[in-house]
Amino acid sequence: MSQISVGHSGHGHDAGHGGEAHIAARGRIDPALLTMPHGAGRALSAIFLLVGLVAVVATFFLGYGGRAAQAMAAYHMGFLFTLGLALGCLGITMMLQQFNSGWSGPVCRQAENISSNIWVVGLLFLPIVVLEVFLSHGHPRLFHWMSPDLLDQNSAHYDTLLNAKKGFLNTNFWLVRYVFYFVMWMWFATKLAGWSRAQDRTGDKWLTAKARKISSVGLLLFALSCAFASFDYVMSLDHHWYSTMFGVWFFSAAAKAAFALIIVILASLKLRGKLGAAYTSEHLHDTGKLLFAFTVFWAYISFSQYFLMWYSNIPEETAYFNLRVREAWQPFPMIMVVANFVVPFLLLLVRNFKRNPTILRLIALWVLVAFALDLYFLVRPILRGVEPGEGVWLDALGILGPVCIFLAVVVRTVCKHPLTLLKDPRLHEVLAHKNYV
Amino acid sequence: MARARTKIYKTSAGEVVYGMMAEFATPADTFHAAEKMRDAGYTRWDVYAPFAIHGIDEAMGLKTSRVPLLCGILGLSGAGLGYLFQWWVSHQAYPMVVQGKPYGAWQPFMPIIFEFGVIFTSFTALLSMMAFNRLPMWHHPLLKKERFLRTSDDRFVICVESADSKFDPDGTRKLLEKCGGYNVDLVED
Amino acid sequence: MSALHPDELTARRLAGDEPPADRARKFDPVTKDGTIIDDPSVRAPLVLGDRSIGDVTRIICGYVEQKPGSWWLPAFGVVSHVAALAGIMILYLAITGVGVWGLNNQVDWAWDITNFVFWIGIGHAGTLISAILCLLKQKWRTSINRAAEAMTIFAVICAATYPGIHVGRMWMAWMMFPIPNANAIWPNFRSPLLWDLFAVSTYGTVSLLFWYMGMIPDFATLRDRAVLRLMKNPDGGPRVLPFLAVRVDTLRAYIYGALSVGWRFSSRHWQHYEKAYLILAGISTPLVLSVHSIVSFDFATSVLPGWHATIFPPYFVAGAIFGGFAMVLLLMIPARELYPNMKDLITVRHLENMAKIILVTGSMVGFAYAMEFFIAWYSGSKYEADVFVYNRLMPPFFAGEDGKYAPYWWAYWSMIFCNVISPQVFWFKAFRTSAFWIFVVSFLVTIGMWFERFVIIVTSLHQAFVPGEWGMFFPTPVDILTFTGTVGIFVTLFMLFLRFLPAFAMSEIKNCLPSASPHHHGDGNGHDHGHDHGHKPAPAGGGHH
Repeated sequence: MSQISVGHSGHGHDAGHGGEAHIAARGRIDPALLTMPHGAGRALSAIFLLVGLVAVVATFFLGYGGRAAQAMAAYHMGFLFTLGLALGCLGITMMLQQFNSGWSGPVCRQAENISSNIWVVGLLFLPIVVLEVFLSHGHPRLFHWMSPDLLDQNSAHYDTLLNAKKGFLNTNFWLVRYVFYFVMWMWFATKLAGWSRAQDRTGDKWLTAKARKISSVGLLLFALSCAFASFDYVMSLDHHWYSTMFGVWFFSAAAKAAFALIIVILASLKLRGKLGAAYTSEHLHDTGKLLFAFTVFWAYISFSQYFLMWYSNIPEETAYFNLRVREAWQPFPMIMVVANFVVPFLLLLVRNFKRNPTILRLIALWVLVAFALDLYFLVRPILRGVEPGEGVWLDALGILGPVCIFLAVVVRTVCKHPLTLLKDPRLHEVLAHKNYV
Repeated sequence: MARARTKIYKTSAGEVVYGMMAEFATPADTFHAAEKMRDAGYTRWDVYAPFAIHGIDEAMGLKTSRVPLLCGILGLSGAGLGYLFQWWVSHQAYPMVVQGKPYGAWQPFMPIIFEFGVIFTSFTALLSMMAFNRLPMWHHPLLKKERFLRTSDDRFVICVESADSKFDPDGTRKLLEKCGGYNVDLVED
Repeated sequence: MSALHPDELTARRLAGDEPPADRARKFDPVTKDGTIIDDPSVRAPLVLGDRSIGDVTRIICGYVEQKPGSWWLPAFGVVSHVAALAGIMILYLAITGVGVWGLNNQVDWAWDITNFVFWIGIGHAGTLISAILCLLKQKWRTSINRAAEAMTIFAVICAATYPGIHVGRMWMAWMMFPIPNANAIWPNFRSPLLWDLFAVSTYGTVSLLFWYMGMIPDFATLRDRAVLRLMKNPDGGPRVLPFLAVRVDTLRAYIYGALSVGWRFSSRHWQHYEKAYLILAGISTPLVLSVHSIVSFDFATSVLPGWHATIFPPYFVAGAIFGGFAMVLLLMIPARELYPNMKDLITVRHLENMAKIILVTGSMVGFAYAMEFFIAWYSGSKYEADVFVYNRLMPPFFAGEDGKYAPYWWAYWSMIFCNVISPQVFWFKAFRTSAFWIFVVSFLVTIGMWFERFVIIVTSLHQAFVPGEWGMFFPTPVDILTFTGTVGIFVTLFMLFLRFLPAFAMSEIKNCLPSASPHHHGDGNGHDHGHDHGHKPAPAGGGHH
């Protein structure tokens, strides 16, 4: 069997007499474990694509039989889900580069695989743009601030507050920002993924240094664009409401979900016997710990945002929560806390759960479902008069559509490229990774 | 774990023997020696090193520490206690209208619930570490050995207690030497 | 006998602190001391100068055991007198009353709380270095964590002074604690100020535990060295006082011995110890986030424009880490120059990493400023916008026709310059690898972070909703001298720490040396830039005579 040697002649601490056993055990890895066979994942991808397309068509088709606003909201949730996954992964890729982390080769590769498909997310937003901006006839269903009525001084619906912020919230600028965000994200994601794949072929270690350099600037732009995108696509759904924390909150939720998806991919590969020493129970343990950290971070940000509004009790702000605890929505906040925080928190405290691919994958899947619930709680209450649970099938279809289309391309990307960074200059650290404490 | 001794050994000077120690040159030597000692079936022995050698617990065949479990249980109980205490004060003992908030609302209690959890976990971590290690213990036969005291600098020592059922002055010495130990010496109790 | 006995090796090393001349490092303009390496496949060495495990012990224990330089006593004399100033000012305050401070009916929270938040923020870098970087397995933390933790505790001491003395009747300060009393009065658990009390006292306690637990093995090392010296020569070494027949080493053996709780470097102990340490790191991480978040709740739970912003918790935390790192650098850069061999432990790579963290957290703070500003405008609320424009931002020379400007514009712009603009030089490698520039920027950042708290607190209060409650705040000499005094307390404690406690986490640094790896076989296979590992192994049974 041919073997890829990844030991470092120059500075692996393991090199030397007496260390041969270790090199054999940790320095070499069967290349078949690091690539998917030709044609793998095609069926899965095709199923995802089919389900996704059917769901999208069904959402709009069924929605236009009287539930147009709900269909739009449902599709928007699906879009936000994919946006969260792709953006979260872009952030994670850049952060891993910045931390110069040695253990995280497979994580980095999967984050790149997901984020490099951010163009799909951009395309998935097009139906909303078309329907809201060009086909709404002055009555947008989702982004009410687009309605020209609200800025008409003679109209009964004239909105002074919107008038004050029309420099930011106006359709043209919003479209420009849409193009700008996605072009920028695509540029960074493509560059980073491209370099890392080029490194698999050439072994040029300086690509790692290059990636580190651009991701430092990238993170700065990412932080700002992620925050403003969250204002554009979520906060402006209720254009009166505002929260300085919202950008951070959106990132915390997105990064948590994105990391969960990375774990699902890696654990699935592991369960199919792939990755070998590149992703052992030690790596699983660490990814589990990071998922735990993201969960706690989400809880911290969510609680702080909620709590400050609850305590100060300023009507402009509490409107947000008023909307979300009224009538049938009342149990939802607690469901959210339990689903997004309590359950993953308690499960991820257990060491053995983090080290077991089957269990960790289940937890990660749960986190993804909880993210969908989170988005449901974020977007759906905006539709006044549509009770929670009303037309659940439509909400589910709406979320399923974009998500399945996105997963279809992600599956293809995952199968097309090596499953970990093959010639990362720190690959020996990946293979030797161990939690000693 | 009472010291159930099978036999009491004495040095030529008539001192009771606590055990037998050997020095090792490098962490690697110590590590491999530990593996051999573990495989030889010794139970009452220990590796002394100026730092926690990576993976030495596995090499010695130690069981997982119970410190995290205790911390988890006591930390969560502490947080619960924090909630109960605040609820009792604010809702039962001394209810006061503050900003029209409900007496028993959980939200404003969260910060202190959290701090209670933290303080319980931290004390549990330190104290359970000491308890499991039977510290403080200011007097120990090994601390009287000049050679041993250098482990706090850069020496590596393995010491087998005479209370180990497999301890035997000649066999143990031989094994220690075979593992790469030097300066093998008896430690007086 | 072919190889050197370990004892002989040590004896050779003991002959001189410096490594053999043929291995002396060269100072290179690109790689600086050899640690600034662009090559991603090379990990920079954490300890320079081809140090062995024994060298690390000797260098670090030397800071405690040997006499410090001639600069120490004069410097200590100055800072301890400055510290005494705080005592005098507090005494004066206690005798006279809070009227000696500059706060007034308009700005009723000013200097005291600014300094409280400033000091408590300083502490956060210590916990970040010791806890968060520990969880992230950033090994470079080992040579700065001890000093940073010490700094945390001293900063908490300075911070905790203020709530204690600002209550006016400070002998009633015990009423803040939930202690059963004759009137059956309990504190108000819905008050952010009470959360503060709990947060700060928990933070102080846990930091102390963490710090102490980290020092247990190092105390044992100091104890053993003293005992070994006494074993060799029971009547040697200096006396405590000329007329007192007690040896300094005896004192050391007892004091460090008591503190080390009989630690004997057993691997069975290390196992529990490492777990407990990890848990303390794990619990300190949310703790450090919670402390400054709770401090930010003091302001953010109010309805005052400029105070109420949901981003306050993470923004305060980022700012605290930012300011704290600046303080770590302000202390460690001079220490690095003054103490022998410290540059081998705190390399240019360490400084660069910290400069990068300053840049990151500075940018986070800048991000928060931008968000606050944007949302103040986006909210459409006139009060929100005005607090930014007319309380903080507008300088007199840009005032419009109405002549309205922000009286504290200089404070706001100092903050922006120091916190957002000055760290941007760290985008350039030349700046972030130069100890001088790092020191300059750290100094500016410390000033900027003080101004940040001043801006948040004073400028929001001095012009609130109704012009009838507008006013200005000016500090009195007592205010200024009290703050100066707390700086003195802080530096005094830090100097005492460097003098009497192990200033570096010895056992952790040793574990980061290449020779500490159980898979290391020390045959010098050209480790990073020629820093091969000094510890030559004796062959099996080499010392067996």
